[in-house]
Amino acid sequence: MTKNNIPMNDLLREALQKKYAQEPRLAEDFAKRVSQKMAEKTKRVVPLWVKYASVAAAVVVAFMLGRWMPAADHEETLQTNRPNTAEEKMAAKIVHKTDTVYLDRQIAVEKTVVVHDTVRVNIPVRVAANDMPIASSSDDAPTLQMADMERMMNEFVESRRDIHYTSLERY
Amino acid sequence: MQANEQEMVAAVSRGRPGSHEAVMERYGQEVFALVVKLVPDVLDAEEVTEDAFVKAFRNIRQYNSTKAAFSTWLCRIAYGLAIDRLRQRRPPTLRLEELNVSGEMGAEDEELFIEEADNHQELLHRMLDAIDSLPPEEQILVTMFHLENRPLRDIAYITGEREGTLATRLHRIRKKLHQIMTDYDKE
Repeated sequence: MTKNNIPMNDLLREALQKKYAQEPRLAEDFAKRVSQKMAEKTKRVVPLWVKYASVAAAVVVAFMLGRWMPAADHEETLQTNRPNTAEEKMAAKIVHKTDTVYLDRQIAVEKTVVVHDTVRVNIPVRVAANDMPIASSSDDAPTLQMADMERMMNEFVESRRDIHYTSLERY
Repeated sequence: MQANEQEMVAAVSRGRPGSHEAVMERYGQEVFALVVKLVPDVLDAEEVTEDAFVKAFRNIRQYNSTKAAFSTWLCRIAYGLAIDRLRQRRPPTLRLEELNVSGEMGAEDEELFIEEADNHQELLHRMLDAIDSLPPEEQILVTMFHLENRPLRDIAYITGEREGTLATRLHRIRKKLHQIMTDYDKE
């Protein structure tokens, strides 16, 4: 008896259908399982406009507060051993925009510092912005490179073992 | 791009609450179906798929609707991550181009035939074995083209290869499968 020849593409398609017959069920199971997990993961995705809006708002507030405050003394870059005064505690603003930290030049700092993309530390730091290695992008918001900030933060932490971390958290 | 797809992308890029889940719900199964063909371990495939969506959400502004449909863009990201995962998990395989399999035909331009066996199921199992003997990258190519009927243009976008190269690869893969099947008959 003569056997028929069948097109290989047809056989290939049939074999693939058989091979992946379980796939729709797997995909459905997957969709059910991950919907919860995805909700948690995507919460961490902060849209760019929110970041930019936060930066803009913080810069404006820092600028306004800076106008009301007397200029800070020209102290060392990090004065960590002195108690914080009311002045120091007021009006400190560091905001994070990509790899640059913006400071209000007149104000000492006791605020949240973004040390890394995913880690922020609330820490009392006194900074005289005029002494900072500034790469100025505008008169009102002199900038401090992230690497410099991290270095100073590390030095600061080293020098103050008794520091009170108001918070150290991942977000 | 369809209107609601456009809205969906815009919502994600604005960070509207619930938009990520909506995208996941709509495209999750398609992306997972692609990934699981490359990464057979279901848990690994789930992880790669999740990572693909997170990566897509973070880079949503890079999506260009004139180049590909949103689902194709998602598949492209997932394909890249799945290939990375494969390379971490297994030793490198020999690409078909490195074997001495001749042929420069296009994707559709040659009809190959197999002699029907007495038992069709047996023939089907032999074809399944032949498919399983291919590296995952080649399996996914024939799957996208022959099972999912994706246009060569989309497969090229997903895999990052040129259409001409893909057509040649598909032809060679089919010839290789044909050779495996006919060699089996001779044994």
